[in-house]
Amino acid sequence: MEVRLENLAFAYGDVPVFEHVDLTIDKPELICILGPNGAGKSTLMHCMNKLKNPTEGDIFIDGKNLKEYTLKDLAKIVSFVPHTEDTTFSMSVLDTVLMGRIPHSGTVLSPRDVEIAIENIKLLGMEDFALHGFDELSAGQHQKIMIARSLTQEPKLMLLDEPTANLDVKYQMLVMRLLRDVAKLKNITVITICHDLNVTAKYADRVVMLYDHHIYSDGTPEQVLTRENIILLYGIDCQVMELQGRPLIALLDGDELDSHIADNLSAAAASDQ
Amino acid sequence: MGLRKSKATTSNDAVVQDIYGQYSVFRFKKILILAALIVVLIVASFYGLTVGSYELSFTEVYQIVIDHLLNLGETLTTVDQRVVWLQRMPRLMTAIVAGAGLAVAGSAMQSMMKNPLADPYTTGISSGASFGAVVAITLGLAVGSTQNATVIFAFFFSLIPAGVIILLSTFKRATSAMMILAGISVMYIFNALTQYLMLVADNETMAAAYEWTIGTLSKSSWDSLPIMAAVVIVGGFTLLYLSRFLNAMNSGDNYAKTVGIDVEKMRIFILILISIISASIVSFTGIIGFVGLVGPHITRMLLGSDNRYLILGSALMGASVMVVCDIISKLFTVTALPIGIITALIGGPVFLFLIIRQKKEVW
Repeated sequence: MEVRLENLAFAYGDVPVFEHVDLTIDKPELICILGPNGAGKSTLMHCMNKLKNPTEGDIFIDGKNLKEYTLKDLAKIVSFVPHTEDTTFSMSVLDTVLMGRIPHSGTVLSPRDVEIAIENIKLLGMEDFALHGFDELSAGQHQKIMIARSLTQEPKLMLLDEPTANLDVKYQMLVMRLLRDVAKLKNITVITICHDLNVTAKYADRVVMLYDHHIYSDGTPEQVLTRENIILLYGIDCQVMELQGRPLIALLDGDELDSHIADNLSAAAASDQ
Repeated sequence: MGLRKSKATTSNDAVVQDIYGQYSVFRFKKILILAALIVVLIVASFYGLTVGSYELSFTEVYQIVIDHLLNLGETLTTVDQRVVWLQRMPRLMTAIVAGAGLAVAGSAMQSMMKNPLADPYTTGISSGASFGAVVAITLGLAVGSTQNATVIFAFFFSLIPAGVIILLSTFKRATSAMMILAGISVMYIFNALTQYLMLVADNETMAAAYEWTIGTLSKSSWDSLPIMAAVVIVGGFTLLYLSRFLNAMNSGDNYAKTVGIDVEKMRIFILILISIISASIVSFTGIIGFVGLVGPHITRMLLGSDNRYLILGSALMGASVMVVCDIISKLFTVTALPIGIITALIGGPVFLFLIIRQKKEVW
């Protein structure tokens, strides 16, 4: 599976979100897209699965221009895990996961379809919940089920929009580790948007950093997650150390973080005297 | 609908086998519930045929039914025969078809709009139909026994809201919020126009127009049934075929697109189906409320919200609710109140009771 972005640009009217984005991804590994809020991470991802159309440039998946894919053809090789699951009327966990078979199956599901769904539920350790209602699960369990559903689509490229948002520390690590392992085990290219620097540093095979409307840095966590880059991106000073062979980023409190409350505090203190 | 029955799993994995078995039982339970709903509908229908203001015993009714079925070509001579074949039978069939159609349309509308408050009339179908009927009546087109003009006008105007939404969708994305808001706007316009017509109409026309808006089964005849039945059957099965797409759309537009569904086009197509189903019913019976809202919800409580079962279940539930309401109307009210009043009057409290009893959150 090869994904190639060529001179990609997206703009809302005259306001550019990103421009001149060139990126080639050709290995089944875990790729994290990192960047401050509003840097265009989600938009970039939505361009890769036709949820949005880029204003300029092309995307090639396995050499074929994305514009030539129908939604159905694309769904057979690219799956997507949205930010949060937004069901109104929920079904059982297994029926939810079985939706991943829609691009492949006909009107009638085959026993094989059901097996694939169950195998993926088992892979994520959720077999005890297979026939529970989806709405009975916690946020972390939802995320696992959505990943299982995405795997049931048997994609070559899996896109995830902030899968670790709303999760506690353990689940954040679990989900990222799982994505890294799934990429290897199933030979899938996994691209995920991530906000947590340390979780990214620990599990990503490759980090793509979006800043100032373009890809500012691209490489291994060691190459991308440097003090200079983090100061530039977030305006926060930090110390980058090493732990378990991966960068560990300790953020430092400082005057860059202006809450505007400190002024009031000192003003209040002054008026008291 | 579900899986092919004969084949079992070929997996060697014990966990997979175990869950596969549980899932088979899970699905079988749903099929049992569907079968139970069929039994309820059949029993209610058999009983329903024997109820009416004209006194006929159970055996008399079925004697007539069987005799006539054995000699289909023969003309109906006695009053008894005419009551059973020309009044009760078409009325029962209309109740079944209308109830099934409205409930199917309601469940599809709820799933498509991702909104538990949606019903077949959400996009303004009923107000369009009322306006059409009132226009036909005030223009004096509905003369004497022929109600054809009223039916045609009601049908045509009830499709206008869908037309407006389709037109709007060329400018703006067809999201569920857009559809609901556009439907409500059209509804207000039609209501205003209807009110104006009522204001300038004379008393007799006004009464006739008002009476039309209250849904009733008393106008049922063999003539109106085939069109309604054909539309409901074809529309219903098409929605059943689309049920897996409705499921995916319930997970959000973005997700549905990434499993290969052209969501906006699909939503417009489903809207057209729902509109035609509802219009074909409403234009003959007038506005029968509540079945299209509550039928699907009671079915969700029994079967869950998987549209692959819900669509069929809603059809059976809606049909049963209508048949039972018609029986109640004939048994307990002297003048046989119109079904539109009965469904709401009985359905309302029953549904409130079910909401309180419901432990699991369906919505």
